[in-house]
Amino acid sequence: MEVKAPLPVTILTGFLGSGKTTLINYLLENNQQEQIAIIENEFGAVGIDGELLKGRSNVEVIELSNGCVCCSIRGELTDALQGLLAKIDSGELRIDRLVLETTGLADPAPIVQTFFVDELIRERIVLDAVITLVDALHVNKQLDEHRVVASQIGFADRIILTKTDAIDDEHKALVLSRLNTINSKAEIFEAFKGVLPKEVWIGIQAFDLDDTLKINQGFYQSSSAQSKLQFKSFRLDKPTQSWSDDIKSYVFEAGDLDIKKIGAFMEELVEIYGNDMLRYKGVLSIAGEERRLIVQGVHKVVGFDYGSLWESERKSLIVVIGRYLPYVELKKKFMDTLSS
Amino acid sequence: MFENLVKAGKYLGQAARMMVGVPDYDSYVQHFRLTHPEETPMSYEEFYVNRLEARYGGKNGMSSCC
Repeated sequence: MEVKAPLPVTILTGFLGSGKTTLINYLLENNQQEQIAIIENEFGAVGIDGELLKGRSNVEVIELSNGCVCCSIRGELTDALQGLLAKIDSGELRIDRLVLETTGLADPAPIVQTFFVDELIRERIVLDAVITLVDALHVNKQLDEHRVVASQIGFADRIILTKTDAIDDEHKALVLSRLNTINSKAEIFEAFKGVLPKEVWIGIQAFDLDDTLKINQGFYQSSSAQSKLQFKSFRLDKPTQSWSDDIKSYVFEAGDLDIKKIGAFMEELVEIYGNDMLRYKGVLSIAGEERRLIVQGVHKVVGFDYGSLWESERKSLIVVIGRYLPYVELKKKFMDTLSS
Repeated sequence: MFENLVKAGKYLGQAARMMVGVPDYDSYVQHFRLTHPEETPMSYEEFYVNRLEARYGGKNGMSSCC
């Protein structure tokens, strides 16, 4: 029997009006190569452009009926995904890629977990990345008023900043600083008039246990839809304003660690605080081990593996995007795992 | 945690293991407390029945929460 390659899925999230549909419309307009299925969980003010779908055989749109129900989405989404796989198996449908557009009010947590809980889905579908759109003009107010916005940002592998043409540099610096405080792991891309080439947000493989882990120091900007993206560092005079967002990035850094001690630390961390840990990743230097140890997780789903050999300076780094973690206490426990 | 590392695959879905047998209920309670602090979440038994019904077409889907 033919073994099918897993189907990649991109979760596209972001608060109401952040530009998810604009981005999808741009993708459809500029995508000729791949068969794409879009699962829509929102009947937004702006739907997917029907004109773009006309005469196209390479786009399939599936709508989930309970538009705005984040607690029930997991069951319904599981059913929709299983239905899709059955259609692929029967030859009724050929799909290269899935894009799941969530409702603007949805917490991505149950949606992300869907891909790790159901056995069939875990085997046949690969979660590529969580992409979060952020409306630069309104995000500060949205973060103050809707707790789900911080969760959407916290879950992101990449953040796409829209409507930056409507704000000045001071405002932008504030927004970037706040986003980076919540999620210092996600790269930030500024969309030009709401659009970005698909390479920026599709095919990221963010849930692979790879060696990439760094604290974000800037953002990518483009001056037109076609121009090359340029990396710009965050301003040195960082805004001094602090926020009370309940989700933020916690960074743990050290040298060589003891395998048993760090194992016990991670186990306890995930067991006790897993429900408050949205995303976490670590690239660890283990005493007596030549390879990097990689650990990655979503809430209480955790995976680990050895990665590439250490060639340059060895160091251990873990970034946890979490909610109200007792950082001082945890940092002390983490430092106790140093190899003696 | 890391002592019995068996190479299972590069993708988290292949390499992952759950730290707790039934993570769904924990996540539900967590989500519920954060989103509806004024209400009481379902018990584990109620949650289990609800999920079964939601999945296999029983009479009660989970009520809308946000």
